Amino acid sequence: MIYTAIMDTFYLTDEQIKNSPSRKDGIDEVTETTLRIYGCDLIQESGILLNLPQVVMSTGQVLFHRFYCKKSFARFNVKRVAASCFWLASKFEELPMKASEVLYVFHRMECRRENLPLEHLDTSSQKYDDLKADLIRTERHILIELGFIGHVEHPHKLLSIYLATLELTPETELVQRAW
Amino acid sequence: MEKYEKLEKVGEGTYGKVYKAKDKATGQLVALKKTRLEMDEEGIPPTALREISLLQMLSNSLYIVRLLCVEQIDKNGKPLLYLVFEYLDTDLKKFVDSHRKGPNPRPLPPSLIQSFLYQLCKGVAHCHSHGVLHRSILVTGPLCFLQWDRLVDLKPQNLLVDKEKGILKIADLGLGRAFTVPIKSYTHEIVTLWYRAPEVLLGSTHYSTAVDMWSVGCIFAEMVRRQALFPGDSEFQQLLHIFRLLGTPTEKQWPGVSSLRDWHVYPKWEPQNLASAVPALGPDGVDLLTKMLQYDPADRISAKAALDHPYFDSLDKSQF
Repeated sequence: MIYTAIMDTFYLTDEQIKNSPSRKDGIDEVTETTLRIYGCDLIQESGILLNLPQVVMSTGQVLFHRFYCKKSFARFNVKRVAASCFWLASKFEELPMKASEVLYVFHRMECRRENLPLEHLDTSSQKYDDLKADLIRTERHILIELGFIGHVEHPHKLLSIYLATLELTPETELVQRAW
Repeated sequence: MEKYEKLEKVGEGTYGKVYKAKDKATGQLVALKKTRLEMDEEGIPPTALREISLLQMLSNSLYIVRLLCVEQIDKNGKPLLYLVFEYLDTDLKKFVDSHRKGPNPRPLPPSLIQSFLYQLCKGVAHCHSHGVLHRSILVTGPLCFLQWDRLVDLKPQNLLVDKEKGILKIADLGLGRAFTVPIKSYTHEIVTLWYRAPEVLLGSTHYSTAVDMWSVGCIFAEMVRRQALFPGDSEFQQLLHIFRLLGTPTEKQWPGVSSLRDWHVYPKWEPQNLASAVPALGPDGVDLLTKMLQYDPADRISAKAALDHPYFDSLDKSQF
């Protein structure tokens, strides 16, 4: 079933994509795309590290893209939004993660990617409290921006049906790429 | 919330106050339902998210009142959630009452009853087709009943009617435990038993979508009679009302009935002729009603099957 009408308020015109909120803050298209890929990459990796099914990451990535169609990268930190989108997606997809698990994983990814010393995130530290308060605050921001809509109908299932109808075997390059 | 101008309080829903309001920009009338959102250490509870999603998904049917959007505001640091629904001018209870009392008492036109019942079955079938989602919120045990009851509480007060266009929609799809129910409004509410299925009254813990079809049957009869079919004022009285008309159920009719939790030894009534309770209804209508009021939930007609019943043959279905 494809959900339309009220849930689907996320279609944008070319014009709107060109004049994204980030663009208005002076972020050019290349930088915005790089930041979008970076955020999605963080969501993907966190899901792998936490052993979650792909649907959680895919939903998180869609929420992430939708959010930055409404808000600017200049005003909302990409790492924090990625973390909260991932967290929200785990709740929408009925595999809720604890705030602490999300924070650990994002902290660790940050240390690794930015060549920082791998320090342990202490749950009794002020830093942890701040990060957690921020995770919750950002989650609410996202929900309000998206009007509490979190249904995401992923194309994967339909795609495999179409490919099967076309009688393509899983070895075909098209199938591999599409998935 | 500055977008809306509150016009009047129109009632207390199952989970909070309901206001009639106007969208200042478009002039559209809406119903605002206020509810408190419990936030905890883990942010927004997943149950709350799932229930909002479910409401959004269910309202994606013409026969379910439309959830236009969800707004969140902070009041003294506490998050409040407003569910913004489309506004319809009356409900089925008021509509039926206006045909019984008032200056011009008259029966409801049979074609209107037919159309309303069809729309109701459509809406119920839509809810039931999302059964997977229902199950994900339902918990086993006594709470189960409460949750189901709140999710789709079928009674004439919860069926909104557009008199001009002859449209009927299911409303007040409640929210479950994820939302705190303001105690004040809750205690004032009188829970209606009139539409409650016998298996629920007898304390069955395993019940299904068939409970809704019982309610649909009671509502059907009420539209024809212009008064409730089983107006009980306690659970016991409610059962006696049912048994007096349909006969006291037997093990043969409903296997397992005497082992239900609240089963007692009841007076043995013989079934009456159902047609005599709804004299204005033709044979097809009586047949459909009979199928909705089967004792054994397994024998009760489903919403989807009801749509194909001969009673609706004379209805122009192209308009739906």
